[in-house]
Order: sequence, then structure tokens, then C-alpha cells
Amino acid sequence: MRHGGGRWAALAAPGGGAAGHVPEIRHAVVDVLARECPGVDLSAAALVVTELAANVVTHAYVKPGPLDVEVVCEPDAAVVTVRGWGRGFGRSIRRGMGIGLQIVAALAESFASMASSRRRSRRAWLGRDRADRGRRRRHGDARVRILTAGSRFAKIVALDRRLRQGVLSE
Amino acid sequence: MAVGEVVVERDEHAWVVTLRGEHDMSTNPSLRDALHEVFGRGSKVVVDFSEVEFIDSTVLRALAYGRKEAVEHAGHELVIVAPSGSFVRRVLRLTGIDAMLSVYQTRTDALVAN
Repeated sequence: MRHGGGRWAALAAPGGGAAGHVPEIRHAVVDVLARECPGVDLSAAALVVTELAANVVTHAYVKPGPLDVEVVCEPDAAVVTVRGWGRGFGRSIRRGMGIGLQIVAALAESFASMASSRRRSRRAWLGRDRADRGRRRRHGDARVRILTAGSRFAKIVALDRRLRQGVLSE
Repeated sequence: MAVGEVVVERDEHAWVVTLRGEHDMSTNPSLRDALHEVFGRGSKVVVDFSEVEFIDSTVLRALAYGRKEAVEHAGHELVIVAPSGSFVRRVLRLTGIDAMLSVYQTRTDALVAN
């Protein structure tokens, strides 16, 4: 059975230098999902892809590096994988998920279940392969499933208490 | 899909920050830049999202900054315009921010509210 989808590669640069790639990737992903993954909540998908790509652009690199995004349409879901290589992301995760990743966890079915376990979530996010050690470090794979049945936008999520204090982490 | 635009205007009783299009980390100037500018002059600030198609967490952080400014400084006030059912309203509800800020259906409602 043929599954739709697509794959995009961009250059991520620290300091917001590659921020312009984030809307480009969002538009490309939404276009493919609209065409090939009927039923997916495009608003939720746009937000998930944006937050994950922005995370790589913001945290992964001290100098320009690759950003890969892949979308696979399954019968009941769209699976989005965002991947970067470099450093910096581990420290941000140790401080806890910021609002961007909390939104991803709230909207994406499988990421939400990973996020329920902090240890598993960290492992999943850091995702460093044994084979990669000593060579190129993998920044992290974020693989999320967005279901075609129903929208999780209706759910009100109690986000981190920092939100109420008006100090949002990245 | 339109690139994000931020327009700052002076109303009789408030500064009005109108956003249009899509807003994320690439938008320049950002909502935070605009809020910093208008709160520097004091007064009530209305942020109008009626013509916005997309926001990400950078916009939410800007709103949190605006709320903090409004809470900590007498005479500062921050109110939001986001029609029911819009993308922005959905994100505000998802994150619980709609319970922390005054959110109105129309700019007229927001301007007359006290």
C-alpha cells in the first residue's frame, strides 16, 4: 500500500540566522498533508512542525548544520520526524520542557505518551545512537504521530507553572 | 500564506497592536518588539489577532511578557482580540492563556472594556 509524504532538508544556523526556513518547512509539510493525508488536523500539524523545527534551529548548533524533516502518511495518522545534529539540546531538556515542546506533547499522540515519562522522553529526544558516539553526535529525533480522527486542540492543558508567572522557557 | 506583519496605532484610549498573517520565530519585527515599544509609553495595549493565520510559542512568550508588564506596572493593561474558532483562540485555549488574559471577540469590544 502506498503511503504519501515527503522529506525536506534545510540548513539550520544558530542565533536565528536560519529562522526563515521554519515557515518554508511548515508550508511544505502542510501542503503535503492537505494533499496526501486526509483527515489530519492541519492546524495542529503546522504548530507541531514549527515548534520542532524551531527547537533545532534554536538549540542544536553553535555553527550552521542540517535540519531534516520527514512526513509519512499512515492510514490513521501522519508521522512527522524532525532531526538535527549538533550540541546544546541536552542542556535545554535537562531544564525541563519549554512551552514549545509542551504544545507538541499536547497535540501529538505519540509524543504525548513519550512525554509522560521523563526518562523515556529524554532518551527519545536525545536519541544518541551508540554507533554515533565519538563521531557525529545526533541532536535528537522527534517523531510524532498526529491522528486523523479528531482534534486534540479541544483539550485544555495545564502547562508549566512558569507560564502563570509570566516567564516562559524556550 | 502571508508573512507576518505588525502594525502599531494609537487609539483614543489605547495603543493597538495589529498582527496579520503568520507569526513565528522568523517574524521581524516581532510582537515582543512592539509590546516593548508601547509599554515604554504606558497605557492600555490591545493586541488584535483577528487577521492572524498562525502563531507559535514565540508569540505566546511575548504575551506572557506583556502580561507581566501589565501586572507589575500601574496603569498598564493588556487585552487580546481573538475571535472564537480562530487558530489563535484555539492555541490560547490549548495553553490556558485565555484564562490569564482578557480575550475579546472584536476590537471594538476590547477598546471599550475596562
